[in-house]
Amino acid sequence: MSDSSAPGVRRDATEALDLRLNVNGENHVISVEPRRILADVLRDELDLRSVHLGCEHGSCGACTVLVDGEPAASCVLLAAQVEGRRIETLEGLALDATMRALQTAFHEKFALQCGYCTPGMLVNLCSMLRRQPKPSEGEIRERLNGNLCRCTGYQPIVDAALFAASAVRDEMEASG
Amino acid sequence: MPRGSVKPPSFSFAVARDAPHAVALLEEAMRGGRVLAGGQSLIPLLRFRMVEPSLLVDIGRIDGFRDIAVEDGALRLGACVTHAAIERWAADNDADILSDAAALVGHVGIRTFGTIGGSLAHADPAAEWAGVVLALGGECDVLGPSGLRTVSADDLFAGPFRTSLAPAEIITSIRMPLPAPDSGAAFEEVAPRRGDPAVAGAGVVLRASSNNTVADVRVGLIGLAPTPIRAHAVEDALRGTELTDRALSQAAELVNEDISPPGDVHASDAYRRRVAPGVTARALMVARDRSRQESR
Repeated sequence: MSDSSAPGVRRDATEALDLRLNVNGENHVISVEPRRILADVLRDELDLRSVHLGCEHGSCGACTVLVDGEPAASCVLLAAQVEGRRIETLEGLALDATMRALQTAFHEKFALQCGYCTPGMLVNLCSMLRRQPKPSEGEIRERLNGNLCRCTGYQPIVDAALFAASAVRDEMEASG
Repeated sequence: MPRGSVKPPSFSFAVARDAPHAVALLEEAMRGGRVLAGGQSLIPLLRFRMVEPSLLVDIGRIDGFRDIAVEDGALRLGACVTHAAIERWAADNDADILSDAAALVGHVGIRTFGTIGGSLAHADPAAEWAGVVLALGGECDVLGPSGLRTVSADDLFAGPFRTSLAPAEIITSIRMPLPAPDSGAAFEEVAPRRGDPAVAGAGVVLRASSNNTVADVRVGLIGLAPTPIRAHAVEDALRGTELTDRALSQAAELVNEDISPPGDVHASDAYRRRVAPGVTARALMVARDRSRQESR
């Protein structure tokens, strides 16, 4: 089976690509048509249902995953584009200390109601706090520009992000 | 505007080895081929079924297409340099106009994969990078069946979402002079919400003379015409004027002579005409202030 991302290989529309995907630390080989969207492959082939489908054109952020640690809208990526990259969804981040602080904060600050936007919010914020341990409210709001929420009015989400950032810093100081 | 998005239609898929291979693949597909860079504009088009290519040519793995280099005072970006990579480079190198614009391109998720080459080739009349390359006087290196050529930013945009590129031509890199020490550059825009498509935007590079007047200036406008454009009337009025807020604002008022703004769901043409002078003036003033500092 040849590497689908090997330059020079051309696959016809009816031929499946055998994609080597690294998702949440595990390697998979997924055989899909070239047109398959990453969000759908994660949900339907790998059963990673935290990846939510909202607008399905890259505007709402419900589908946000991490690719090599950076947030990406998985509904506007072909699975073929991320062969060889490191993909993380909420399922894979669940044991991450920063993510756990965020989840606790979201719970305590009522930062979710229906929960539909929540995985995208958490994934985006987790990658932010890993690089920016002390963000301002303005920076958090700007970072979440592409994550839409219809329920909370955003303030509880921002409060939770600030609370989690503070908790993570306290934890670093305590253990440092 | 189509009602909703679905899954992309079927297409064949090829990963280009290098730029000539990409051109050959596109040529072979005749008009059925589309280039895949970051896909952040193309994939929504596929999902809205606004395009149905027979072949996608992935140029994202071509050596050199993600390179960023400074050569002879000019920044050279490979076609597949992402918005996020430009944002990081600009922060590390105090390239203010690039920082201004990069932060406004889509949102953080889009910036991880979207590319400057893709943005310019997509030729959205409201694309931030278009305003920037017009203001900086940038050029695109283009490879096609007839060989390599250079297209200046002024000659790149032919119509809404249409470049002057011939079929099977691809942008390989984008070069733009970086503002000199006696110059300042800025990008400002107006949008319904931050991160929304710009309804009016201005990129400015302004060189100040020693007697506190405008020695030279370039103004690139977005969202204000069927394509990104230069504000020639504003530029002509500015050369030799004083660098006061009042003089800059007065010159900015002339922007209405240059623009023919569209009206759409984001903003009416009347609204764009209302805000165009203000956003232009703001960009001019920030560029002027920066020309008086060390950073570019």
